[in-house]
Amino acid sequence: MNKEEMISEKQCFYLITFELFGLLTLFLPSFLSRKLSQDAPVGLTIGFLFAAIFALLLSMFYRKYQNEFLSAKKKNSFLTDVLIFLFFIQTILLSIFALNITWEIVQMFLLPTLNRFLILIPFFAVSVFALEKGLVPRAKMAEFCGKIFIFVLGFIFIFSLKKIDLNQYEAIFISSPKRIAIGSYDVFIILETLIFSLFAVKFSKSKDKYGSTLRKSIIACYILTVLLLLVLMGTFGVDYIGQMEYPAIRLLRNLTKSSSFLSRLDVLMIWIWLVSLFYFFCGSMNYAHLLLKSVLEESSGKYMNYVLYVVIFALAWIFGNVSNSFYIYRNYMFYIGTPFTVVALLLAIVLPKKEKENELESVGPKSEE
Amino acid sequence: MNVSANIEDNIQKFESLMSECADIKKKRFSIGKNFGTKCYLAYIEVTVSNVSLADSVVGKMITFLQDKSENEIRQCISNNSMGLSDVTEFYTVEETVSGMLTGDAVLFVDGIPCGFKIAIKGYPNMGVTKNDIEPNIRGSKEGFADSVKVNTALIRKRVRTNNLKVKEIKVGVRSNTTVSIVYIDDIVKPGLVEKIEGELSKYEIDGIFDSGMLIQLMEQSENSPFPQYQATERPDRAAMAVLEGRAVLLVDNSPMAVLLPANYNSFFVTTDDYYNRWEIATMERIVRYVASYIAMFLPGLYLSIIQYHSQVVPTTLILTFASSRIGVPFSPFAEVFLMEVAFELLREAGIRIPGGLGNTIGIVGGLIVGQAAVDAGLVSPIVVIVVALTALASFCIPNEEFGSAYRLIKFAMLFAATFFGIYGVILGSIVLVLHLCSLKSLDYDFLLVSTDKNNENIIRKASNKLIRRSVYADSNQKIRLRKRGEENE
Repeated sequence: MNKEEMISEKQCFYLITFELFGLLTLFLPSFLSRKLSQDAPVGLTIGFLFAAIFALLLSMFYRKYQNEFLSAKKKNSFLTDVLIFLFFIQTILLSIFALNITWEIVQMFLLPTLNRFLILIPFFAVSVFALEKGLVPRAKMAEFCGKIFIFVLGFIFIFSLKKIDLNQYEAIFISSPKRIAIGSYDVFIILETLIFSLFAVKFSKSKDKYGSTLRKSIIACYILTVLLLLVLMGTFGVDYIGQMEYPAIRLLRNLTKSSSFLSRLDVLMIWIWLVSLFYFFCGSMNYAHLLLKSVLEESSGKYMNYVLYVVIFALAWIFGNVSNSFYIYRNYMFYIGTPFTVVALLLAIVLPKKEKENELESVGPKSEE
Repeated sequence: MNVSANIEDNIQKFESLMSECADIKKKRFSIGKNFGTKCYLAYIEVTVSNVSLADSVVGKMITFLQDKSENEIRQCISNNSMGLSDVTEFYTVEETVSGMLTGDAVLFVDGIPCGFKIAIKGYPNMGVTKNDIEPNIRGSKEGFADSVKVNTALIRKRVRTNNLKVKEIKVGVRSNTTVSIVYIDDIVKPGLVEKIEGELSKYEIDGIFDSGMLIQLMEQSENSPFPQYQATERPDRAAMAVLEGRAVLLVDNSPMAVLLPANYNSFFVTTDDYYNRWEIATMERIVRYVASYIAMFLPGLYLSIIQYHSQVVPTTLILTFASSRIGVPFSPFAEVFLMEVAFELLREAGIRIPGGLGNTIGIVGGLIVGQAAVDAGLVSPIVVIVVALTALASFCIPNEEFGSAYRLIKFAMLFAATFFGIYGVILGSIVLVLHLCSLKSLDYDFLLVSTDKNNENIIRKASNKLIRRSVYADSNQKIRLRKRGEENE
């Protein structure tokens, strides 16, 4: 790969962070508040600790296999095939989830009268345009938007401080340990999208810094999510967040005064989440395609792309709405995806690499010559 | 066809190539004490002063050789270049003809097997002009001329180093246009000049009449509204560019130099930024960036708010918007679109109408048409304000070609906003940024996101902090400013 067509460590960091941010901040606050009430930050923290361990496993896996498992030419072991299959299902489910969440927030906050098809078609078209451009422009855009993003989020946090009521914070660890553990596991299910980084690092200039990039992304996402959760808890109270849909966007509506130039900030600031969802969706589609390519013939890869786009769009339509999509994703990941992925990852790391034999076979006759 | 020692042979070959060219003056004459040395002089009619040949370089040369013996003439020609400062020898007739077509005279002397190209007045041209397209407050007012030689001299006048190199290439199969690549050989990144030469030789074209024609052929993404190379008419700008490690492309007959590679930020920079204090320069740059966003998004955002998101602005403001639209027969989109088209018409008419009338048409047309449209109830006054602000903002972008791209994008945003409101504008912006991120200028990123290594940021650093050269400079020559006595990095 040409060095010009690769991404820097910083771009890789922004890409991973962008892909995670949308789902974490849009979905987790209300979901966690509903499940864990005052212990939502605890569940979030433990979930992130699980994610940090998972990131360690990913970096160990990457150190051992690099991107070999994505190469159709290499003969993969059974374990890597299992991983490819699990990752593929996960990326498809996440694409559907991302499409439905986009549709819902656009209809809820921007275009209440527009139908679902008309909302999804332009988003889908822009994503296909981005996918056709490849991952490098997307990563560059992530770095470019990242700086604006940090500035805007900083602005939101600062302005929301004066709306915080400290009485809303109550004692923690009131939920049972089992409840906290399940809540944390749910957080981890969302954070398991970290596997996307395995594909992004293929395009990175500094592959050796994969582990540290991953760590930085997790820390950045944790800081942003926990800050947002605390601000939301302080502003609305944990019970109210649990009943709200997309409290992060509703927070913006709460920030502006009627006398200022903009009376509703949410309509303009929603771009942060739309861009993040765009990244998430593009990432899922892109990585699903990469996985498909790794098991198919090189020539059919391009056509598969289009088939994949259509299938994902159709499935998103069939799945109906965010609740359905999340229900399917959560149940799949809760009972099948996560346990099997973790076990397969561990085994792939611990067991010796089978592929060496293939190399020796091919090297053998040449050395004899 | 080689030039022979027999002058008659050469004349026959030359005239066969230049037959039916009424604008070529061909003169046979003899020089020397006994008029024993035959000569043949040819030049394009207007390139030698037609007032008096004797006053021209050629005339002076003939007078100089007139009283010399045949031997002395040969010696003078071979050892002393005929006593002239700029003489080039050619050994084929084709080369000699090409030499003459660059605007110089050619001379054949009997007994000497080569043709001489003598630099004379050259083709008529405008000379050094005042820069009109990129006006500035401080600094030189000189603009590039339409002669490549003059333009090269204007850069060398500012960068007087032997490391400033000028490579000449002929482009255009029939126009044979001289194209010069100007660069500083120890600052420019290795391979950049070769890359430019490669890009220039990619196509065979009949003729190149302006640098604009050439750079469109060199661009890596032809379907982009953004120019990927930066055109300038300012020699000081070009001189700054070569000092930054960029190359300057000068095309004969074009008063616009091209700076390569270019990036998004470089189009927002003016020479005044470096001549003024950094605080002021920074503020002006911020104004330009903001203007670029207004030029792209304002009509689209207005339309979004009016059509879909009236809750964004305070109630009193939306009521003002609504009351101003009372009696307007068109939809908000049609209203904005019509006014934008009217503005484009005025702009185009202002450029095409000859003389000073163009400016008058722009102002009078804008005022009268706008006011009349509001009075007639065709458009609301708010729309006139929106369109006028957008137009004003588009003129704040220092580079006209780059500013035009924003005008085009504005229409795309307008369409996106009319169908999907702010959602459409956000999606349009994603496409725009992705497109910018995928653009390349000579293999360099067009949108430099890691701007910490570049001087051309939104914030213009203080003069003593502008230490590093741009990303385009050779890695061994990154430092442009250091205190005397300090070692290189």
